[in-house]
Amino acid sequence: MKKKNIINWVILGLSMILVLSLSMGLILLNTLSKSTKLTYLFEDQGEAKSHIMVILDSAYSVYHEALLLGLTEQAKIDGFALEIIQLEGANYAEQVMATLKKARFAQVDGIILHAFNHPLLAEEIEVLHQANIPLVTIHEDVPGSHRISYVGVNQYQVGQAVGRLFVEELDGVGKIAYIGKQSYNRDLIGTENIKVLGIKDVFRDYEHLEVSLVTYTQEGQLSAEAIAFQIFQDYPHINGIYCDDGHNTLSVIQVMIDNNLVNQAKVIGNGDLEEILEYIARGTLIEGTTVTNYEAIGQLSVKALVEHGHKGYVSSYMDTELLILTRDTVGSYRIEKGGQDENR
Amino acid sequence: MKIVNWHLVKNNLLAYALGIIVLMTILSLFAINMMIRYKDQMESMFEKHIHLSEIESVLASMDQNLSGFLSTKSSNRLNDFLRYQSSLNTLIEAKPNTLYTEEDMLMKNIYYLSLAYQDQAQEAIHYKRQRSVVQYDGAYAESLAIKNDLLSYIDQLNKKQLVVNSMTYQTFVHVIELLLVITFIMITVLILLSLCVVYLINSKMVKPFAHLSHAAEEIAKGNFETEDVVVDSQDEFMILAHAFNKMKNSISDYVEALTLKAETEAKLKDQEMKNIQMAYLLDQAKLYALQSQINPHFLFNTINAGVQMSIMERAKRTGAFLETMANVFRYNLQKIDASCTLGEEVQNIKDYYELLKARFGKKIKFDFFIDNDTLLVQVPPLILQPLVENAYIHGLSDSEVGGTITLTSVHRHQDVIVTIKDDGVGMSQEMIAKVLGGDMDLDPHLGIGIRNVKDRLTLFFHEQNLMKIESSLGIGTKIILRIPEQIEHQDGVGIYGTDI
Repeated sequence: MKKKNIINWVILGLSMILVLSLSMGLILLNTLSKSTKLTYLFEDQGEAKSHIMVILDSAYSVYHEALLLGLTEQAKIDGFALEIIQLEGANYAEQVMATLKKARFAQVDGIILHAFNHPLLAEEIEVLHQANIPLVTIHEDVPGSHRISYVGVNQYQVGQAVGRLFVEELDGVGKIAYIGKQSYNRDLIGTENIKVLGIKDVFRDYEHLEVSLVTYTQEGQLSAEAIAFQIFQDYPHINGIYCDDGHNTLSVIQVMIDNNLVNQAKVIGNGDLEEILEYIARGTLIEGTTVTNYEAIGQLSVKALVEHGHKGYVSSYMDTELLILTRDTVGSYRIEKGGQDENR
Repeated sequence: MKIVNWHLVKNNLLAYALGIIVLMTILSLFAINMMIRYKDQMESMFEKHIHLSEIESVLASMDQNLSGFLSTKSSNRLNDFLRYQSSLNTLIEAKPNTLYTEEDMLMKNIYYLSLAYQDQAQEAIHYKRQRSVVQYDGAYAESLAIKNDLLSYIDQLNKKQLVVNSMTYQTFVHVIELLLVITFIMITVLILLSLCVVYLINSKMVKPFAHLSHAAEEIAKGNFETEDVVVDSQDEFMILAHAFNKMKNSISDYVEALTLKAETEAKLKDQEMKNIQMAYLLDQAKLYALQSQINPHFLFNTINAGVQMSIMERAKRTGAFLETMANVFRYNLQKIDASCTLGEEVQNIKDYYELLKARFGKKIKFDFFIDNDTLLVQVPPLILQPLVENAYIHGLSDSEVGGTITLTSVHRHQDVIVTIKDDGVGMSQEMIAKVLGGDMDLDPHLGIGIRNVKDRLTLFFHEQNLMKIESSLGIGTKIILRIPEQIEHQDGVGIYGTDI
């Protein structure tokens, strides 16, 4: 009888194991069907309403993290599928033209473009407009074109802010060199940099302040170093340098450090790279920097398309905040930025 | 509604078989399902690759034929181009309406770019036909650019699909491994379960079988007193055990009855044999008596006539002799199968003695030592006379001096011992054995008389060893009869006694 009881208990145990195994097997079988790892556009696996192509210049990739963050966050909210294309190489302009054609053939629902002011681009934007494909420009506007909106800081105002900062730092006396990021064949076009115009506008009231040199780097970070070295060698009177790119700013600083030219010139940079903020905080080498809120640019770009889609029109300019960080304000900015990074 | 008895072995086996079938079916379906999902998953993993490869191949062929047509204006090239164009349209099929994944986005691009490519290709063909070289060259360049974009997207999609498939495959392999382990566990558990159930059913069957076979062996040995087989389970074995016990008990009762019947028949047969023997002996005695008898009526009438003549002739001794003779003859003619008292037998011997005395005078002498308490003992008739006659005829008749025949009757323990003794020639032991053994070669009077008395005594009292003969040659013979104590009278005969 005892043996029979043991057997009965064994049968019960085995039956439970069998049932458990079968249940687990069925659950796993179900998992098998769902094991395909699709890359859904949204976390809730919902459907996108529109397909937006975002064309960016990888030379400005330092800002892309914030820009893409803003773009993707807003796209999730508005149900836009983003196709991000980061073009590499020196022939950004040519690649942009080809990509815009591709976008037209692919019948995308909208385009966000890291633009440059060029007639050819304006023509292509016109063709897209004819094809009912709205386009938003960022970084640089293409005035006179049928882009639906420009999203970004007012470049002229950036120039003015930089000019004011130079006035303060140089006590109204100095010669400034402007080192710009690439030109997209600007030299051929002959249009003047709007930022430079802004600086000059401020310097108009200061006869001893002028923009002595405007130059542009080519592809590659070392280009800025070479230019900076040339400036210090060939233009010793230059006591102020503005770089409109973060990496170029650091390249100029490095030349100054390497060649013991620390007090040679006051440098105003661009962007909120940690190294730049550190130099500003220490009060050495970099006097200030202009910071663009790229996350806001990303968000507003998408919003512009949404608004255009709903209403058929949208504001031609969507200005984002411009920050001028100096030694006085960099501390609080760093704290605020640190908190935002943690929250992300 | 019939309630199913789950204790029955039949139902147990049925339930076990059905259970195994159901579980095996579930396991098989599980395995088949697994294989089907595996197949579907593999198909889905490579479906898109195959599809995209086909599109790529068709595009390449289209471009080749387009460039060939633009170069040579060959109608074959054009036909081939159109054929591939048709294939491309089949491949890209319907416009993608859903946009859930990055793959959907890329497929959408591929779809529209395919249409754009075809448009540009058609434009090039159109310009070619118009011989507008610049235009068709431009259109072809455009189509080429679109084709490159298409191939770029196909490449992107393939890479993405590869990444997705790699991740899927890893998960897939892991899940399959787990499923295989689970399947193995299920098979093992199923085997163990089956073994346990088989063991239970087997043990349920073996024990009663063992009891039954043991009981059957005992019965085969003739032991019907073996205990009933007890089976507690409410199944066929209980029914079998009940039937077996019933059979065992029936056989036991039947054997008992047969035994009893056989014993009874044996007793009856024995009794019948005894009766037949008694009848035979009686017949013999009758015959023997008849040999010595004449017609009773004539005899007694004649004797009476003689008695009357003796009275008339005043011959008292003759009259007394004739009356004594009549008494003897009367006694001999009584029913031989009735019983009488010992006293009547003794009186008959006394009368017989009177007859002998008349013939032989003092030559033959009789002595009587009779205990009066023994006279009422019931005995078969004519048991003493044949013995006395034998004593006279074979013991004394040849002796010139004669002899004495002594008749005694005493109580000994519960029995009455009657002794007939003569001092005649005696018998050898061999003779005694022959007499008592019924040797047919003996003198019929000697053998039949003594043996007749012996046998009738045995039949009357249903006991053996009621007669004993002691004799010595030249000295004499003593016949000792043991009359058993009479407690129940069955035909007037006592049934207890002791051996002589």
